[in-house]
Amino acid sequence: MNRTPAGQRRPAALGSVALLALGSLVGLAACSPSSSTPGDPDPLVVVMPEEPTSLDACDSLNSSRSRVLRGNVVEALSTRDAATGEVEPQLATSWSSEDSVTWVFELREGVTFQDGEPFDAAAVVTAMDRLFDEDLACDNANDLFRPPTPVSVEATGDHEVTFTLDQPDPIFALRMSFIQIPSPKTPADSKGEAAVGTGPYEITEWAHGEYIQLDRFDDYWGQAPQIASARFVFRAESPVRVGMITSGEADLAIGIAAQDVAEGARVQTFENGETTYFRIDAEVAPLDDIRLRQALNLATDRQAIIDSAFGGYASVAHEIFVPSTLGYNEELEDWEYDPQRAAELVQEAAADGVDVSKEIVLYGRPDFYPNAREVTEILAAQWQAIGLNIRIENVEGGPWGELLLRPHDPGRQPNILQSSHGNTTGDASFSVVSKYTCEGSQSASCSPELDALVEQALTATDLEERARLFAEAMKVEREDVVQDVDLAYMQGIIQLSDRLDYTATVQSDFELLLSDMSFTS
Amino acid sequence: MIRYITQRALLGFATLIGVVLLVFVAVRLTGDPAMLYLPLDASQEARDHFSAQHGFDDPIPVQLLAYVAGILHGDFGVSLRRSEPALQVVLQHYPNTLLLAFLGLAGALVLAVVLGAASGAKPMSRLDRGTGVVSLACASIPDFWLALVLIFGLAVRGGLFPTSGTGGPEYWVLPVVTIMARPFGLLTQVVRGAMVDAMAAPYIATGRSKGLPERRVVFVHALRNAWLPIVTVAGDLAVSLVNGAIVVESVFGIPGVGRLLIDAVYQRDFAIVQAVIIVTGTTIILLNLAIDLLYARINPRIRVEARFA
Repeated sequence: MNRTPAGQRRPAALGSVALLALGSLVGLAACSPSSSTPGDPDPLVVVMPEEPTSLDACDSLNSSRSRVLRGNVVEALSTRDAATGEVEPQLATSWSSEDSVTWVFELREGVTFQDGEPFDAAAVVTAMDRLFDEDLACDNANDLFRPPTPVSVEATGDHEVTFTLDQPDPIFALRMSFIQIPSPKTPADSKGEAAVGTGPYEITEWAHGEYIQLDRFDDYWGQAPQIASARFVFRAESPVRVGMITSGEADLAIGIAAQDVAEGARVQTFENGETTYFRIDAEVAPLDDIRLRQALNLATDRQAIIDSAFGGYASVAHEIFVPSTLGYNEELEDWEYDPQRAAELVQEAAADGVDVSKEIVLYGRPDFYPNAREVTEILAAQWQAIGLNIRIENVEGGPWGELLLRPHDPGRQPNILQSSHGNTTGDASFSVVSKYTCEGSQSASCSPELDALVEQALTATDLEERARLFAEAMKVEREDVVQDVDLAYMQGIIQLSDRLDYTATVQSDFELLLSDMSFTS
Repeated sequence: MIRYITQRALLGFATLIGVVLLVFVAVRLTGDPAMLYLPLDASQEARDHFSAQHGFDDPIPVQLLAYVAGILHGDFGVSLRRSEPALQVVLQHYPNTLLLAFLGLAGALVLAVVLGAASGAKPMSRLDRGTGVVSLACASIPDFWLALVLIFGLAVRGGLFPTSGTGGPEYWVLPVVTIMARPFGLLTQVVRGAMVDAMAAPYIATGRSKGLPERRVVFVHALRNAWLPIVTVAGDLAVSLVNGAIVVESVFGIPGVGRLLIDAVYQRDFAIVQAVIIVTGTTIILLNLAIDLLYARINPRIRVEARFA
């Protein structure tokens, strides 16, 4: 009886093996390094929706990167004041140009990079060479330049750099506020490592998937900030980010969804420069008839969408960029919500032989902004109600890009594309050229009149004239083109812990200056 | 027996090759990485240059040959986003996922065997009915919802655990409970069902009549015969934990391969997608092999069938 065959003991043995494994793994977990760093008991914790995929200064336009880098780790020759919109000196002390083609920048002296390299004209030349290296495919070069393209960047003194452009560019100083200067020791042929700059903080650790640690740079040329160290962490879900503030694990949560704003919470809202809109493909029948495009705008109840889908955290839009943009046309009025007039326009078009029953695909991007899916559903219903045949099809980034960009597929269906545009630069050219000109990479319409105005605006040396010409182009868009259903100027929502003192600005979506933050206690 | 193992291993290897081929072609059909890597305003020349530089403009068979040649040298390609070898990135993230999956499955298995066996031994008892409700709920609750409820109940309100992140053992409790729920629910039901069947067998009556303690009857004699379905289901669940890891890792901010995979798919970081598939695929195939062996160990009939196969 006491001799048990080996196999018979197995079930019990298996159970204890599992228990043993569980126990030892809990033990193992206990031994793994804790997330708090010794010697730094209490860093500021910022919780963002996503981790940056790289931290290279030449890719700093993406907001997840720029929140960490811009003005904290790396600095530019100039900077745009968030309150006034004026371009002010940063690493340069002054700049000048006679013809907007040749620009001379005088550089600040006595500045060093976080790796000890001196900041001088040679460092700026190295940074610009790297920015325009085609093999690196830097975002900042592809998005902010080409055109204009610098034909030469020369050190004309130890602390003087001369840029020569291929065409006049009156906003070159503004453009340069987005070009951060990394250390000349930054690898010339790869983008993997975290940026080293001249800013008040240096990146001391990047634990991929966990956090990015920034510590105060003691040799900073400017005023030393109050906060000694900060840690950026990433949580995909808005309620989790809010939960981290409530539980005291984080001090600043970015990108809070409207439905997660609790009563009494320390939230701040700010115009984030983002415009939600829908692009109408005006080059395919039946949407090539302007009456249908006007009807789509008249049938859109923007305020209702703002109240329901955006929780009231937005305002009605009538052009692609926000009022602080140079080139914004303040004379244009909001579209009226008039579904009856919209239905009449559709019927008029039908009477003239336009096939209004043709299926129109409404391409949605559910990941674009909170409740984006609901927005397309509301719009499809509103547009169906005036007699159009709308079908929703949701797509993600890759296919969406192919639908957006020229060359468009000649055999495509009539379509409307959900989109969102953030003009954070403050100049109309970054929106108008690609979106509305005949050759524009994202355009789906063509108006020679608009093209002529844009051409003039781009080379006008006087900024007021530039603003007037762009505003004029927007009027043409509104009256003769109507390529968009502009929906809403969005607001960003952030939440703060009790101990953090910070005031959000119009640039807070892509610029979180740690030096503007302090602890109250 | 060796022939059985060899057969199984070869079949697993063939499956892995098939999966890699499928993934290699499928990710390339989903779109051009240049579209997502470069900003929307990038010129066509910049896009063409990018594609040529990374070989994305070659025909797919050419890309595939280059990839296979690389793998044979231990080179799984370089991550487009991180500029690091893809395999290295995946292996950095893998321990977290393995720990999560292992703790989840081990915890589920232990709890399910104890609760399932106890309630299966006494069908329709109070314990059995209670276990039924709990296990059904656990099997049906979406993990995403459960994660948020746990965070709010136990971390934000209760203050018992951190909401999310990585660190000491306290950080693992909520993620493991979340990933455990579904396997626990399903396994408990399987264990209970298998136990009810086993308890009806004549040898149970024999055991009881010869005076064995009830605990021994249930947990040794009956449970031994209930193991086969449990191992089958547990094996399937282990495989599905990779899916569960995607949600749990995203919500709790754990750097594991689930989150890595989903991000890489969105960013068209092909090298990472392929490396994750190869690494997790190999694990799953090894796991299946282990389960097959365990089968043969538990059920002698399989050994016999294998011999005559």
